[in-house]
Amino acid sequence: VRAARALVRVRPTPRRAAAGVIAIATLAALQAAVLAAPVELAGGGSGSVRPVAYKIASVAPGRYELSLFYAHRAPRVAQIRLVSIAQGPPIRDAPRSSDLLPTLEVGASRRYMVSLHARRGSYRLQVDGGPPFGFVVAP
Amino acid sequence: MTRRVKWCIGGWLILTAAGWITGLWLFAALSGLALAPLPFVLAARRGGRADPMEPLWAVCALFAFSYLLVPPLESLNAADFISLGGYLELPGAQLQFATTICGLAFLALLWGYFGSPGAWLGRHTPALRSEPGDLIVGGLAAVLFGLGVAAVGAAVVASGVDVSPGAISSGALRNGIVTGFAGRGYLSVGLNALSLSPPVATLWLARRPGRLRIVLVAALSIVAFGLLLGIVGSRILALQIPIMVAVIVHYRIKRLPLGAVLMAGLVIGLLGVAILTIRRHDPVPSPLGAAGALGLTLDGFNYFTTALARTHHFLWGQTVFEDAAYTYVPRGVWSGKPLIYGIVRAQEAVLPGLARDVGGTKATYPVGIVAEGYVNMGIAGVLALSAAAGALFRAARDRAAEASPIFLILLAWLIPNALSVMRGFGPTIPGVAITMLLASPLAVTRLPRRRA
Repeated sequence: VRAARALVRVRPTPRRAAAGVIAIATLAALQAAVLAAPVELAGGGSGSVRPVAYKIASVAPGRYELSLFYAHRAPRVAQIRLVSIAQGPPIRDAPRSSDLLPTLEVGASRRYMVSLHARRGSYRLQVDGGPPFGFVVAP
Repeated sequence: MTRRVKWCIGGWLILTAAGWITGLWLFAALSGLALAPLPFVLAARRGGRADPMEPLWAVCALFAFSYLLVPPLESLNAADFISLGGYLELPGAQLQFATTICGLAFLALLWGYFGSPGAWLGRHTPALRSEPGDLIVGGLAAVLFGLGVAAVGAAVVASGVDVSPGAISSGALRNGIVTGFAGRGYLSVGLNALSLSPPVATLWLARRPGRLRIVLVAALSIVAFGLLLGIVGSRILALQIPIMVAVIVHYRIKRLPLGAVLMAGLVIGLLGVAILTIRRHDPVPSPLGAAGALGLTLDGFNYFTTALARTHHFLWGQTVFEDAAYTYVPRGVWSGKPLIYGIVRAQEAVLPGLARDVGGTKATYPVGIVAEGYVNMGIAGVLALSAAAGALFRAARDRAAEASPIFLILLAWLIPNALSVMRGFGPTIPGVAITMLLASPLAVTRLPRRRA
């Protein structure tokens, strides 16, 4: 309580106030530049409807689970579509909207899992008509 | 600002600008190194005798390694430093921003420690000067020890695992105790009490050093160390005992020489690196691999870079508030207490889905103080938390230097916990509160006797 009272009593001098304004403006500009910087995901793709991360987990021989992670406050995903195969054999159960399994919201994140059969290769998905997003299956 | 300070900051600014102008990652990676001598320069400028137990050294060493030294080492081989492959990523543009902001965060940390925030916090924190008697200090050490032994016993019973050399060496007992802690988080207060009993006992020894007291304090410390390391399997709680005892000895019994402290720190550091390197099972151990092994624990820079790429909506202090307010609320009292809150929420903002992948909250991957600040309030949060950490350590030291045993115990707790502070500021708040609460009888002033 004593510390809070002392904080309220602080009277900035004009010089300090000017320095404070300059510091805040610089920070705001740096923050804006960080938020505007393009993000190149390991799997490629950029834009607002892209997942922030993906993870491939082997659940059985030749069978994988693709997890797409979305930041909190990202719009909910309605459809995931396989748009191209950059390299590798076709996926037998190509992800369709019916394959989309919304799982529990975990804390601040959103995670969607898609089961797929694949051996190896690199593929590209499209989420809700957004920019294509690449992922790699490497056993 | 002295000439040497200007040289350090000027060098950092030039390298940072060169990195942005040329687009070469190497300049950006090296820029932080120009700031590394600043703690020594500022400490020398302050004058006075060098204090090897000053918390500044531990905090700056950990911060500088995590956020200033890792980037240039990582530029040699990033794979050695990625602790969570598939989760962490280092996009180019964000790497440049991360090195610049980490330099600013280091300056904020030093400002918090040497500048007005630390001095201001120290002045406005109640001094709690006291002179507790033998009965209070010795009694408190005994009570903390008893509380700790009871908590260890309860944790073993809750684990359902029989105590045997086999169960200890295989880690079955430790895993059982960790699992048994679910819903019984309050037991950790007892374990903290056990780790605090040796420094409080050393305070008791300092009041009237004697052979009997030395034997009693040594026996209590060895038993507490053995219980925490052998039975509970908590390396951090056990290893902080010798450091806390050394802090009390240094400030209350005999000042430890700088050389001895440096050697001890070097040996502990090398031992830690050797253990981590062996755990990596590298076929051909290399210096870079050894640094990478340490970097897997002090991986705050990679978390921060990932946070810059993935965090576009801030949590406005939610994780820090949750850590402070929720941690010690028993689930028996609040059945709706969330499983994911505080530092784990920050972890989920940076690495979404990780908590679920590791089975809920069985393991936490603290994102580090810089990323924690960023997910809460962006760059302003980074600077605020760094400065707050610096101010906290400075205030604790200022108060401990006076006749304030409770702050001496807090300082002794903070120094070995500098690593925890670097890995997350939010969880430090309840940690400080519990330490102050457990040591609160020391703040009871023994009034001087009035002469007739």
